[in-house]
Amino acid sequence: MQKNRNDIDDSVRFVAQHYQQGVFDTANGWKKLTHTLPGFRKGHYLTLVARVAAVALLLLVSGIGIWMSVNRPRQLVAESGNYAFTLPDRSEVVMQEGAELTYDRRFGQQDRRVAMLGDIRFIVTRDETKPFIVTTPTASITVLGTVFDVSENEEGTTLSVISGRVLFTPVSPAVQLLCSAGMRIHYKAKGEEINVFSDDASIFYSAKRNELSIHNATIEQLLQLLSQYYNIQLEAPEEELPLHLTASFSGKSIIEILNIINITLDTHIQIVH
Amino acid sequence: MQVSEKQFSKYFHTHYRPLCLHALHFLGNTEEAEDVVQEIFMKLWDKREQLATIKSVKAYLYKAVRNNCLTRIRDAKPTTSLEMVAPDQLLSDEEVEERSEMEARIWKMIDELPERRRHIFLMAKRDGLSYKEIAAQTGLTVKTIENHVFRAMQSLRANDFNAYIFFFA
Repeated sequence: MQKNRNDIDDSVRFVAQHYQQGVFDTANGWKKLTHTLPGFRKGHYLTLVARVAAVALLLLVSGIGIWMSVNRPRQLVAESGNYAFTLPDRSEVVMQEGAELTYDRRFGQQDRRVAMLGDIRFIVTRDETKPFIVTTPTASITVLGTVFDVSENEEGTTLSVISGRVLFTPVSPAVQLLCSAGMRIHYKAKGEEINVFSDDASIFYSAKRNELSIHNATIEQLLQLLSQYYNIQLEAPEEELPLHLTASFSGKSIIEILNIINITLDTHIQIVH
Repeated sequence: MQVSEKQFSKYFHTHYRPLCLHALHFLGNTEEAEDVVQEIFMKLWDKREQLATIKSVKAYLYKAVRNNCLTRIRDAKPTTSLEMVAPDQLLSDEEVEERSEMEARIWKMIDELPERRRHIFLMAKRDGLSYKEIAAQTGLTVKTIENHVFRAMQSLRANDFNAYIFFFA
């Protein structure tokens, strides 16, 4: 095990010493190689190019805009007053005045992606094979089937989960946070601040200022958030999970935070390797 | 039997980056390492009619890269340092392949780190700077640096899909 870890450290050092962005890129390497290989795929390329050219020419000559309108993303705008709409997968959206929602013709093929601005409620039809993904300029939200509200403005994105479970990912830091019914997440892009609220508790984290504030949260809620945030596995004895905690930390590492909590509350939280 | 374009593409996409890392151990130069691997795949394409007779294409590719690198080192000017010759002589073929695959994953994960974290990570691991020195250069606190390096190492070591598994389970 120790040897294994040393090997990884040696390899990390070796790779870091030679690392250059964009180098050893498989896609680029493939492009370069196939250009020089005699007889590779040339026939296919020509046919494809010829086909595309023929289609393009036909459209240009006939002047029909159908192709364009089929490919153009569908955009919904609630110009005056609220606006309800049913998406192709039968999910419903209720848009507040000024909200915008965009999806393209691939919606529902592999997943269900929409982009939005403003305030929108989503009532998502359950489909476990095709996650429903909402993106705002500052976050992305992934669900299978649930009801939730998203509010977006230039400051950031707020998510309120009414039922089901929702995966919330801010643009930076791109951590995945799982929210269940009754939870609300407010993300502020400027300070990279994440505020998670449930009925009577809240957890605030600022990546820029490295601050963590916990108000009346249970150890269970805290561990869930921290383990997702730091991408590590945290454990505590079951009887300690319901304990409540109110605390603020500034400029502390995750290890120091856990040590302080363990010493103060006499808990036994540990990182599982 | 002739290898199909699809199979050839699969060999390339599976082994390209690990083979580059394999070559890098010999040559210490990314550009040259890529040249070697490109050359090896061109040869593989030329040999596609005999590929059915090769028992393990993967083992063949690693051997071919190794031989090509050693030839280059031998033919290079005498300025090439001696210690660069056969840096893999203490490892078995299997260990060399595993190391190259692991290093290819590390390369990809560094590629995928957010820009600021990648910069700090490289200052620590490539330039060997202390957290204090990085803090002085970047104007960030030592704690923030520690946090960035810790999290970069976490994403190298941890399984990135934990949250997804939990969510979709």
